[in-house]
Amino acid sequence: MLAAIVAAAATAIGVWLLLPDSLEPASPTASMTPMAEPTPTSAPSASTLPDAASTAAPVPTAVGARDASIGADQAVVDAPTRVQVPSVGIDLEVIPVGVREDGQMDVPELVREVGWYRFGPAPGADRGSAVLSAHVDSDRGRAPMAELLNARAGESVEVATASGADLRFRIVAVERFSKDQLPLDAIFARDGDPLVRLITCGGEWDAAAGAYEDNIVVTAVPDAP
Amino acid sequence: MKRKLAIGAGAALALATVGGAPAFAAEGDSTVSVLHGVPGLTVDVFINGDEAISDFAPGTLTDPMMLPAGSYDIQVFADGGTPDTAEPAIEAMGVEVPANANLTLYAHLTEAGEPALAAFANSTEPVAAGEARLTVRHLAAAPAVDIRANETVVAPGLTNPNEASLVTTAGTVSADVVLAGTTDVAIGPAELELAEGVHTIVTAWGSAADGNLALAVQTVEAHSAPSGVPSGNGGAASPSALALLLALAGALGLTTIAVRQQQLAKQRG
Repeated sequence: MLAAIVAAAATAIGVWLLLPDSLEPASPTASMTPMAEPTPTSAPSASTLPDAASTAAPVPTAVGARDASIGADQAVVDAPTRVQVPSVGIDLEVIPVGVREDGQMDVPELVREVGWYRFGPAPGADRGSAVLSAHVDSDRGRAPMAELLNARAGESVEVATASGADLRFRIVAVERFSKDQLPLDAIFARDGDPLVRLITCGGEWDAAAGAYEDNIVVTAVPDAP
Repeated sequence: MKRKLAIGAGAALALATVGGAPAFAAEGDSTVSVLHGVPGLTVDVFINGDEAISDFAPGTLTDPMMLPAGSYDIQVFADGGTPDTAEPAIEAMGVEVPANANLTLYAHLTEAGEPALAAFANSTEPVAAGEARLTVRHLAAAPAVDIRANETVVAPGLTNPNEASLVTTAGTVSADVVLAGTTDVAIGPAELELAEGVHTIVTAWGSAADGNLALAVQTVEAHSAPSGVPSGNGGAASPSALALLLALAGALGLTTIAVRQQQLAKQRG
């Protein structure tokens, strides 16, 4: 009888461990192309348009100028402090992070913290991708960020900032990339449409490499609050 | 258990969308900015006979202009002057702008204090994630100087009109300019942000004799992405081999037990 209980328990645990199949995004939307047609930028000002009337080498007119003294052009950055994905129960503190010695993005050791790539745009910036990343697990098991794998397009991402702003974003894509094919330049873009990218790991654990094979990338666009 | 989500062509294309260039910039156009480094003179700048920059004040930098490769006539007039009414204060005829370059054009003083025009190419080569590029240029009416960061000389013996460049860890430094080989501070110190992934170009301008030496700052994008996002720790979120084994072993055990019980039931029956 004991054998039956042990076997049943083992089956249950094994099946339970397999069931969540947590590393598959709930709704892979690779075919979704929210950014395929870039939003038209605002109408070019006269200053950047070549003078259509002039002939040989058209030159710009009324070119703007700004103070070039030290410190005159420093942008004020409103750092994110908290990120929530209410639909899957993610509600985590955000801390600024940089680059590791090996050139990879630094990701907080604590699984209850999400790292914001402070060298790139902050959420709410008018252009570029703000990158937020947290571990999918720890040596103790699944981490809160693992719930990201259940997020779906259309759901909300909320970001609170140091200035007290509450920013709202809408998920437009849940994608999965093999780590060697992660489009890093696009994910960490400093130009282009303002986006928030939530990143964690997925796929098979590669024990030899000590890393997962894939990254899960959730892309969100600004949404009305 | 290997599952790879194929990246749709559409998605890849979407992610590859990178902006940056001003609208309608043609392939091969060069980015040209102009910095006004002649003290005390507000000017109008004419390019190929047309007024491009008006009321241009010392110490200011224009927005980047996109110019097709070619030959340009640059004329600088005291404010209000035009090619029809005045002689240019400075002019450079037939300035060659190459394709795909990032240039800064300077109206500045020579070491002897004469107004002049100079053009420098700005590196747009990306630095590694976490790093910054610093270029210092001497375009002031002043002798050789040392440029210092946190009181360490980073560009020794710089003379007009030359530059020096280095790549360093991003961060804020205290920058100053001293007469070469001395600790006599000519400009600064000033807090200078060397932003990550940015080429910061610092230009010394003005006149030592007139006591109006200053630093002007221009930044050029030079970033590169980190090499990856290592966001997994131990494999606990993966459907592990152990779980599979456990499930299989358990199922086998149950089956065995079930078969034996059936056999028992038969015997009893």
